[in-house]
Amino acid sequence: MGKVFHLVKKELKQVMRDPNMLRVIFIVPMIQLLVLGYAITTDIKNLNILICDFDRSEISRDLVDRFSHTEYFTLKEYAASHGNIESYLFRGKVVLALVIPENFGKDLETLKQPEVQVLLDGQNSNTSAVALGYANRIFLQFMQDTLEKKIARSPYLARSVHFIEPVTRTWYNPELKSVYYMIPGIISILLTIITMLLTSLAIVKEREIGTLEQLMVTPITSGQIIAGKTIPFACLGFIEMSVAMTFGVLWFKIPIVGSLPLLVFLAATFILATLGLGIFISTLVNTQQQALFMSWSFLVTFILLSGFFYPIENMPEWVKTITLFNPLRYFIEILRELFLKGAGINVLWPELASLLTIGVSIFILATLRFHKRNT
Amino acid sequence: MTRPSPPDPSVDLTKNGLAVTVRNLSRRFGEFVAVDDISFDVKKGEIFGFLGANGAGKTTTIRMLTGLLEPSSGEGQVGGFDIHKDYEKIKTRIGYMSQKFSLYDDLKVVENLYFFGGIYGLSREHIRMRVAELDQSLNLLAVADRKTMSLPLGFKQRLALACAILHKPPILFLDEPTGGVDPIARRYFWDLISTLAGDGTTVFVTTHYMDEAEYCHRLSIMYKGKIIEMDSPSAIKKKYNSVSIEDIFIKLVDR
Repeated sequence: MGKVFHLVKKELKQVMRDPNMLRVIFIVPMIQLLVLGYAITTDIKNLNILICDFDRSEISRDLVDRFSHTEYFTLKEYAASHGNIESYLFRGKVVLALVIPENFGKDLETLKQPEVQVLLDGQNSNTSAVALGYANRIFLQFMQDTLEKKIARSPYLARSVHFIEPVTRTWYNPELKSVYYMIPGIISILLTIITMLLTSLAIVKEREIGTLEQLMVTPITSGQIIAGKTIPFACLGFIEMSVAMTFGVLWFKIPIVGSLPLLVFLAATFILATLGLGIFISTLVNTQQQALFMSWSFLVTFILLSGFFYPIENMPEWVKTITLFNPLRYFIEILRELFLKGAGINVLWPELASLLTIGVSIFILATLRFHKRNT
Repeated sequence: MTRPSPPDPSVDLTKNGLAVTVRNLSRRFGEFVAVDDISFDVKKGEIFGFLGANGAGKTTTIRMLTGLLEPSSGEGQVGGFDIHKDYEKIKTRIGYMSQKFSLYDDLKVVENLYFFGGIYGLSREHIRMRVAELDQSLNLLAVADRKTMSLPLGFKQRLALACAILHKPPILFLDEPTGGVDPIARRYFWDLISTLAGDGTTVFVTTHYMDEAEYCHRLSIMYKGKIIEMDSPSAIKKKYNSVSIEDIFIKLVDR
């Protein structure tokens, strides 16, 4: 135990003495949190649109007003002819173009079924899908209002037409602020970087400069070396998580409803997996460059398959199976449930069980691969 | 400078008298045979030198004896422990200084000493006493609070030696300990080695400096993984009828 203490003390001393390291550990995360907290948002507003109204009737103007007087869209251009539309879409000036044909208003009055054209820039499928959703909502409201006007004029219609009025309430994040959703994700990514990347780098660095060999000729056990290399970064990880969470609460006003001791406990099981992976990576590579590259590959895969950006529900079955081995997936889920819903262990135990299984397995695997003697 | 007398050759070479025994030791890396069927014994308190060009197999041999590398075949014992089974126990009996300076550059001199002392399980008080004791010959306390990276190479080497012998190992492995050091520092370093051996420490040292070979009680010349000559420096010189180990070495290698 005393030997582990010496290793931990030495490691922390080295980190604290390296100004670059301190910047990487404390300043960079703050900037990331700040920038990403604002930049990564799925709240899409003020999308540029183009409207081409060939009808120019009272009714078509009503529709145009509905499209231009919403925070979702900004009327960028009011085109007079079809010709301009393509160039606007092509150059990415607008994401949606609405074309109202001639006689639109008249057809609506005479109970024909008029068509309007909605053209979308599918290059960014995410944005255009959201824009289409907004447009459909406007059309729906427009049709309902039109119909209600007709009902007012015809008592017969009033008896036979009924509307459904959906009453929606969004729980846990009533304003649907995506920053509430994103910050837990960013915190878990930062934690992964500290624990996985720094652990693997710290070991490989010692291998490169030869001090690891100097340790290997001492009677210290590989378990003690592993403990000495993981405990410091676990500590740094917890410090970093506290700093990031404080920042999230004070700056982004994220509510943390759940229990903090439970959070620390669950974070510890998550860190078990990432630290184990850091050791594992260090047994596969020889240089810091390789360690960096490999940790980065793991990190990107973890993020993409975590449900952070893309819902896991949308993934093909075989990819879903892969995500079961992704510790980040469970930790992001845990953070979100715990922060916003205040979920307890009675809800989060499946995630805990998965994290423990992954963490213990990878740690055993890493320890088995970490030899004091070369074969 | 006190040069200790070599151990009495008439002493019976029982196991107790031997710090290191090696029989038919080999190490292959794929097709390449780095160490090819070597056998030798090192007596307690002896300075045993491995002389050879770069790539002759000196470092590979040391790495097998210090438990850093698994031997491909052959037998060996270091400090009474088997190199196959008990290589972790060997580590309690040895000190090791690698050819590359491998202490923590970003730690202070004292921090390196206390760190390695702690890793060997010595108490703070014990380390303090040992450092004071070693300081008489190594003069390290004068630079105690300097960052290790700022030290001249000669100091670094003495610090590496201090870290390797803090725990008073009975057997000391030095892999090209004086590489890149100026002649005066080298001379000083070898005086320290001789003193250690005089106090009963067995010293296993590799070098490619021919003049250093003269400090060894016994010398084995290694070439392409094999030991091609082994005896005391004076006996080797007599056998080849030459005053210079360098000439003999070149003659042997050219053969």
